[in-house]
Amino acid sequence: MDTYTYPKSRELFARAAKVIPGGVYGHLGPAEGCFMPIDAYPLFSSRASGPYFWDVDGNRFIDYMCAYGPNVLGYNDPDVDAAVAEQLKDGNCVSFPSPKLVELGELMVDTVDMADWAFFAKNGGDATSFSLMIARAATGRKKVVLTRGGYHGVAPWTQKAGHPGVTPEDVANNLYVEFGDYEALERLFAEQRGQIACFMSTPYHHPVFEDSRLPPDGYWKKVRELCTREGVVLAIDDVRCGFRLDVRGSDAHYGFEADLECFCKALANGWNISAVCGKDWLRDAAGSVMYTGSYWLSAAPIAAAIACISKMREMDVAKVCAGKGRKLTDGLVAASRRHGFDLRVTGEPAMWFMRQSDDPDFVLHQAWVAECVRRGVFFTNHHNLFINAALSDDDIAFTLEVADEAFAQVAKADPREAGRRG
Amino acid sequence: MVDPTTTARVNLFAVLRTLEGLPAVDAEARAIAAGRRETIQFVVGGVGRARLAIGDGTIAFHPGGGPSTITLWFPKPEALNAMFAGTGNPIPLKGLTKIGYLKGPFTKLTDRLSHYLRPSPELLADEGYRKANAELSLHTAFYALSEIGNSDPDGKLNAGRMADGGIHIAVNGGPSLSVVAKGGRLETRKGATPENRARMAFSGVEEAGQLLRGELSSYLAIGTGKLSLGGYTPSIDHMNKILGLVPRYLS
Ligand SMILES: Cc1ncc(COP(=O)(O)O)c(C=O)c1O
Repeated sequence: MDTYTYPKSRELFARAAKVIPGGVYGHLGPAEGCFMPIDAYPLFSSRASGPYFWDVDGNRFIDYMCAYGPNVLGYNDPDVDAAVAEQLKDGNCVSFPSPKLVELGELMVDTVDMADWAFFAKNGGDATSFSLMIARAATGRKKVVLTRGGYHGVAPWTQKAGHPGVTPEDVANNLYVEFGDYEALERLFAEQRGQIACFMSTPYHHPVFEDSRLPPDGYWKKVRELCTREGVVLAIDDVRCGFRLDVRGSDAHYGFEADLECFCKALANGWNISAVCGKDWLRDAAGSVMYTGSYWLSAAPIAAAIACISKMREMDVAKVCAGKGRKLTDGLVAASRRHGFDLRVTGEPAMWFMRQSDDPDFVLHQAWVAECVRRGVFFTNHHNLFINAALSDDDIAFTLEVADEAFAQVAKADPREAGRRG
Repeated sequence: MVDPTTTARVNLFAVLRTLEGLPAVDAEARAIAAGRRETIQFVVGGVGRARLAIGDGTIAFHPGGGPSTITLWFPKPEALNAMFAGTGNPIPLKGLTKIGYLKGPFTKLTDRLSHYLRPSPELLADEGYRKANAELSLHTAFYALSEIGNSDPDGKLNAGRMADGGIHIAVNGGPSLSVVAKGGRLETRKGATPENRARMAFSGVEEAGQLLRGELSSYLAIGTGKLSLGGYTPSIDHMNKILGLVPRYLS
């Protein structure tokens, strides 16, 4: 199999470096994205379709990052994009919202089990920050309990003390527990009784660098009861999992009901919109918080969300993605075993996390992922991966072929040995 | 926010230590190192002690106290910082007859170090200077990093997040250092160590110098392959946050 090179990506990066901080910043960039070694990776895409993107050098990749989640139906989904094209004929960002806003609100309330109302914004971080403000407005309390290693965006309160631009005051109201440790949460609630406005958590734990952790048996039921008892708003950050695990919301998937639920990524198949859904008792609090933005009620992304949700419901996208995810990850594990390695897969199949066993410093995993990328399968090293509904059996077969060859390549000279020599 | 104790620790355990590398790049420093042997002990209230042995062809830095021919006392961290800033003088406790050595050869050495650590566009036009600046800055910055990680409030937060193990900082065709974390405390060592779990490799001395002088951002360096990372990446992320604090203490 030929391996890729990226001269045009490098050229563009050199241009970007002159005018854009970091060249490509954030999670799409080489630093945050952990592109190691960098020469295995493209840096810019030229187009995308279905499960693929093509880089600026014309190399095709099966994209298992799915734009870090938004691509759930396949890039350029014809139904979603047609709804957008249709809406654009009528207008997009106008002084008044379009009737589509109401239509989407009704559709969300009908689709998401816990939802009595829906509110729309742009990014996942808008939804998590708004949820925290709603909880504070409703309870008159300040503090928020978060899980260690959880990600809720980039607003100062979501960041870490001691990081650039973050003051101790920004995070002074944050308390942390381990995901899944009910007893610790109960203790913390008792210690801080009357202080905690909100417990915010992802439905299952999907940190970077570490194995994903599913909720222990009975965990969410107990947490739900505890929050109700203590008057704490239970906010589920479903930005990453939302719709991929269950169109009814990931709380429904795990058999409980959140007070607030944040959606973004898969909501509109890549069109820019996020949402907070809530229970009736938080409706007034939500209305009382001043929260809005220039593009939040733009009609085109709203049209996209309506088309995307309708299609996800129709095809039962969560079931489709889970099935494909299981097939793929079973094959990847088998490929690793054939070469004497032990790929470890955790999390939900539609958005699994993987690493190699006996590889505490990740050198083997980074080498294997790089060999996959060079052959047209885009994985990242330390973030969970994503499945989209456009992924075909042939794509999975091709991926497994690449994975096999990549394992064969790294088996030739186990990079862990070089690492041990220093 | 720059705290005086951390500044003093950086001055004592990072900047002063960098004098070790000076004879290799500077003729005047070589001449002084070739001269008579003197061991200067620095005693800094609230910070600790260190000794600098100059002579017999080398300059050697020894953390901690011990025999000396000259002992300088700084009642508090600010006093040491004032000497480094050129706004204060040390109080000699021992070696009162050797004030001449302090004012002469020792001051010359610190001046030569400042020369290499404080570049100007004119100086940087010279290739030899660029290389010396890069190597000495690398040494100062990564020793300073451990002091900042152990003492500065933000530094401690980030050091506390680093898993046990080391990060190898390597320069292709140049020096290498390791930053080793244990129980949230950092120690910089010369060369590679068996504890290393991650690596940060510069493609050359020139690229390391560009990054340390702030001519090249670390993000750009990573994107262009001038700085390559690998292995246990979370520790590198945390360490880079501390590296970001270094210019505050060295400027
Ligand atoms: C769980 C979770 N919450 C919040 C966010 C922030 O979303 P955004 O980047 O759209 O602001 C993300 C993004 O990755 C996420 O995964």
